[in-house]
Amino acid sequence: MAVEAEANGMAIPASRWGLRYRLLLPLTLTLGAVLLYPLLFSFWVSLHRYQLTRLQDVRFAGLRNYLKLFEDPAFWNAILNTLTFVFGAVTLELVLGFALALLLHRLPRFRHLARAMLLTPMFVTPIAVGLMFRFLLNQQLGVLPWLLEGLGIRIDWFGPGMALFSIILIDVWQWTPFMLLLLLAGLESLPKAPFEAARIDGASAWMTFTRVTLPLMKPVLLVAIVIRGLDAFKVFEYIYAITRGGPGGSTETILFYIYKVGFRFFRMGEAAAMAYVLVAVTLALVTLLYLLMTREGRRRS
Amino acid sequence: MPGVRLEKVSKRFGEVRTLRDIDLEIADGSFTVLVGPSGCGKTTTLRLVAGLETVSSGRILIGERDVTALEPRERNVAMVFQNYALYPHMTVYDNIAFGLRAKRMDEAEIRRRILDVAAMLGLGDLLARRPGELSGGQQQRVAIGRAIVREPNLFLFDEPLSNLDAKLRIGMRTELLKLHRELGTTTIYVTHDQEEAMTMGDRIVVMEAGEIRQTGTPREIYFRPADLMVARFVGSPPMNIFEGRLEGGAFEGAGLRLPLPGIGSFAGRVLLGVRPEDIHLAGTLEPERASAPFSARVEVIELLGARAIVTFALEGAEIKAVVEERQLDTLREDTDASLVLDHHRLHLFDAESGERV
Repeated sequence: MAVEAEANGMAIPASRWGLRYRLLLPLTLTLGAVLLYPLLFSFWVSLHRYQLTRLQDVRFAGLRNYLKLFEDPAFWNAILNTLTFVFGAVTLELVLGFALALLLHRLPRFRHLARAMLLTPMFVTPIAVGLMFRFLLNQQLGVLPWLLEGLGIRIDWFGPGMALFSIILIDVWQWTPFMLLLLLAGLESLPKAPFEAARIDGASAWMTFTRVTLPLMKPVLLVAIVIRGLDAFKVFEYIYAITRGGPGGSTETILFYIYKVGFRFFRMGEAAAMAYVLVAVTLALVTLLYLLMTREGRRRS
Repeated sequence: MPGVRLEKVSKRFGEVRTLRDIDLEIADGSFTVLVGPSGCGKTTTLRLVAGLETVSSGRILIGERDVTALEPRERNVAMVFQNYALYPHMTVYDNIAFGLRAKRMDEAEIRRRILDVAAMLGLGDLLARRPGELSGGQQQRVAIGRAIVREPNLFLFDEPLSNLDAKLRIGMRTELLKLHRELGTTTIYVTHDQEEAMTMGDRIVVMEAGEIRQTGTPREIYFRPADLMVARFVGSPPMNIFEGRLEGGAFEGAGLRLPLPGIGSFAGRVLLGVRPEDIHLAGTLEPERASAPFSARVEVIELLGARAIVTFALEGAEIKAVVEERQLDTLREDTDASLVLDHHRLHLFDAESGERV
């Protein structure tokens, strides 16, 4: 009966459940294999002494890998570097991107051309961007230091104290256009009426910006910050291509450190534990940000 | 309170000319309604006065001051928008306070003024709410409150009632008129609804295709429409129009021959306009006003209550008349009736230009 109905393409309710699950199955299996399994396996690894050089000797370690992290100054250094990088890069990108978006929003004629041109950095793969800037900013070969030297300015872009800042600038170069695009789309989708009302109400440009534009843009800003923030946490290519974490660990970000511990020192257990700490930190920051941005709204309603 | 003067104001959007050489004088303290079909330029006119758009040519004066080049905030006007245009993220209180804060007014004074306005408009309980939590009528009140709290020189209303339901709309009309009487502020009110224009305006400006067709009191507009467009636009059901010729002091057309005493020497192709309430059943009008009787077939009778709209067929054309309910007994659908027109209330328009003859 059921078979007959399905053959006619009119499954009866009882067999529809079966059909639903069967339709879900391919995706569930794929996701399970490529997402869930690695996730669970890495968690399992993080609870074991798991070294690629000594796979015959994998032992349960409990939380020892995690506890060890807290006494590892290199780990804390990496966390601090990462936070500095994320905060610096995202803030600069947000401010620059928003300023440019506001400017382009006012210049409808340039908007399309400028948008197309400004988007190009996004299309370059980050590892290539890293290599590009490695040469552009190179103390001996780079064109930028050479030009600056003509002006009497000497900066060792990848020297101590400067390297992390340079990496931030590279990220800003590549990802400000993304902010711009997102925020410009946000600005274009805002209702026009409140802005006309503000003009009639006699609000200055500054008052309109702070009291009307900013609050109305808040959801878009939040999304932009979260997307860029999460992405910035994963910074790896620039470091890999340029500084390899140097000088003296000053550009060693958490992902690069995980890579080093896992794939250069083969200490997979510790690397997995760090990866989980990274996930926890990221989640905590996103939640905090979300609460901060929505606090006002929830309090009033 | 200052009036407003527009001198040869034109507005082009790219190639499109929305307004051409508008001259308009709006008296101090008047309630002037700009009315016309959509795309006639009435909203553009309002936005030019507000300063939201800039003129392509011409001058705008508020009082004796030339405001043509001034920003909206330098004009001291208040505007109520069709979609209310409230600040969605602010409370009602903050919405109303916005314009006062823009003037850096003292918060205590702001509070006093807002409480006054809230009391006047019945918004007292809503001050802590946000626009999203209010009904359309309440949002409209907030928009009006935001306008009057600033004590502007000029109120501008852009179809403020068109998003409200019919019942609320009629209530709000009365309230707006009361408010105007109380404050005495010069008001320009835009609507596409001729009935709203008739009931609200003490002056009406009828616009079409970027030009002013007629300016006048509601009575002038209704009883002496300057041209065919105004005649057709104002009044519901609309004016009946008969095509024909004027010859030897009589109108000939649509199977009628109506001698028109006192018409003068004009001859040629004309359009005869008769409002539905000026078509009477023969014998119900004083004889000195009544035209020669003619017969028409009763098609449909729509009873409204005290009156009915009766549709007659005449030489293939349709004419509509408003008939008192108690006269309906003599009428039966699909039978002929004898009708007369009120001589004193006929409108003649030149068939070529549409101008009143």
